[in-house]
Amino acid sequence: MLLKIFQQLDQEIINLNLELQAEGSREIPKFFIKIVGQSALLEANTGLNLTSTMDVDAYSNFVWLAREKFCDILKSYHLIYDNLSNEIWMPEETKYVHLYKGYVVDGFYAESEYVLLSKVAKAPEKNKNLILQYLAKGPSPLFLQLCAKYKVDLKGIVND
Amino acid sequence: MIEQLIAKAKEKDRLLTKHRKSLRYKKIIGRLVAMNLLRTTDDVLLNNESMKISDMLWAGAIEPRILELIPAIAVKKPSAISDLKNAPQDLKTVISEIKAANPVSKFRNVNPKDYMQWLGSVGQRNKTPTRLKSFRFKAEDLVLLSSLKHKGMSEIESVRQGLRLLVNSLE
Repeated sequence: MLLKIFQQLDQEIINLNLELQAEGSREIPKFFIKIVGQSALLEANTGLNLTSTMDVDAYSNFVWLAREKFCDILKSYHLIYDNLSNEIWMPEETKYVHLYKGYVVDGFYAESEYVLLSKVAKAPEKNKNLILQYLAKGPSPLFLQLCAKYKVDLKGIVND
Repeated sequence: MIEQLIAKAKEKDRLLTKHRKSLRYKKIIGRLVAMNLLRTTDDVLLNNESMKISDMLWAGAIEPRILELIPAIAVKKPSAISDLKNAPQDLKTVISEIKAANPVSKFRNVNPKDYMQWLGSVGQRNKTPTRLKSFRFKAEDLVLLSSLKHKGMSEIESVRQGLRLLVNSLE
């Protein structure tokens, strides 16, 4: 679904830029959107049983008009952009999958291990069952390394 | 060490998986998906049936994101819950606080900020519940409004002018 959203956004911004160009106004500059949180996990095909509310968390450097367009498109899928997304903590070494490269929009989503680390580090109670499920399926060495680096108490979660 | 952790996680996840596959869970998730409040990778039973509060709370223990939604549903679409009058006291408290525009209590570890965000997504979209004037204003505010009314200024005009003065003083 994210790919469709990025494609649609890119096309709409291209059209908008043509209008702005014709009016002699400043065009919307190229920007990126990096999806994090549960939406990134849903996109990543993790094999986990995932449930998410309808908010979409994303880091971005878009201008307000592009953000409005993004919100409109999300709305057509009943999704809501979380305006406080930039406050979400992600580990500094987070890697992103480059899902879409358009004329104006560069779309990414965060790799699962980094999202899961962010969740277990910042909201362990809310994500306890998700982490149990992930551990039960066999955690990746990267996830375990990240947990060690950020001093995440996996034992506490499992024994809770 | 990590092997032990994984073994214990597997043991706990076995029960969670069993619950997730249950009809009781699938119906709750299916209803919330049908209301466009949740999305999921699970197989669900899309439905329009009203939910029992006990089932919602039970499902919320498996998927805590459900707990975020319960206060908003209880306030904005109470018909989606078949037995709201049997709601536990903590939910009744939160409902009263939302209606009084003063949500301060956590609901099952969910902060007001986190459950209030869904108010605009349930029922009539982007509409927050209407509130009685006595909830919107404190008693002393009502006395002030009343005194201005005696001086020939309507309540709404007093509020408007007050807001303008506030904005001007901040500029």
